[in-house]
Amino acid sequence: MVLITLVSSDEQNFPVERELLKQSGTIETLIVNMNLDDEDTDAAAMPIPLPNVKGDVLEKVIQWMEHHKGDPVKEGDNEDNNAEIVVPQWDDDFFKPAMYGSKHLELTVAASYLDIKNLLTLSCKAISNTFKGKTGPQIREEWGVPNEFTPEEEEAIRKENEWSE
Amino acid sequence: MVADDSDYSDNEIYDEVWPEDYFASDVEDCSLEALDLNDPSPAELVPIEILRKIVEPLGLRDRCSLSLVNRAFRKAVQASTWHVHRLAITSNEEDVPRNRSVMELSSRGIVLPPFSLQRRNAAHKWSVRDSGIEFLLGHLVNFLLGP
Repeated sequence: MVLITLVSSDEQNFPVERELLKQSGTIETLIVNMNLDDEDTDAAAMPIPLPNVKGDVLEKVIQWMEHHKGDPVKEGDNEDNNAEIVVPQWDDDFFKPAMYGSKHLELTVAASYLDIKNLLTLSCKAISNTFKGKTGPQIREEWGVPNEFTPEEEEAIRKENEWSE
Repeated sequence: MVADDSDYSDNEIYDEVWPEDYFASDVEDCSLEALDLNDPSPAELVPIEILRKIVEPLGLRDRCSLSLVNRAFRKAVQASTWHVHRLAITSNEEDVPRNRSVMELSSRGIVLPPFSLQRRNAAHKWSVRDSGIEFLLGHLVNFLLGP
């Protein structure tokens, strides 16, 4: 079994089964282009630095890829109608501890950076689900988002939206 | 198998130093100041594509609520696309060629000019519900009839 070492931004090493990394478009392209999975070359021992992904986030990404090992990998732009996507129970439970926290957003950004389409889609959908039926102030409170708007701006936006009620 | 490295020097391949910009994210061109969430540190940059993916499964009322959260989400809502079955309806012209459905059914791709949510008139009042399609029909009527 070929292991490839990923190095997070905080310099933690994660040896990962090569097969799992096929889910990441970014890493897969790198491995193929650089022959990193060719055990006959010195390049195989070369770790892959991921300076945009922290260790704790990378650990979650790897955990997700392990569970989804063997799943079909989407190709091309992911332009599915996200409204129709259902987050499977395992993934819902996986995202839950991170709900209402920056970790969930970091995981989503990492999925985008690493080009793991299925993780990105499910993670975004899980975040969307937490917003359903909530008001703007409720979402701000739950997610700890500071209010950037002045009272005048907020009132103006409310007026823009009031015809939808 | 031996790699064909005839075009490269040993240093380029084996010095274990990656080019500085190899892993650089290219989000600058399409990024917005993102949710600060629970992190008191300076706001991270989140690509607008991610915010739009979060926005687009939602219906009209939820999108309106999100536009009140912060400026990043407000911009993402304004730039978001509506998917109605195989139709993609968007104010972002760039979205249309990238959309698989529209590419397959090019005659069904509709591009709306940028619009804002405040254009209230009689056409909207009867048409808006939280399903999305009525909202879009309202804007289409507006677009066709003018402001």
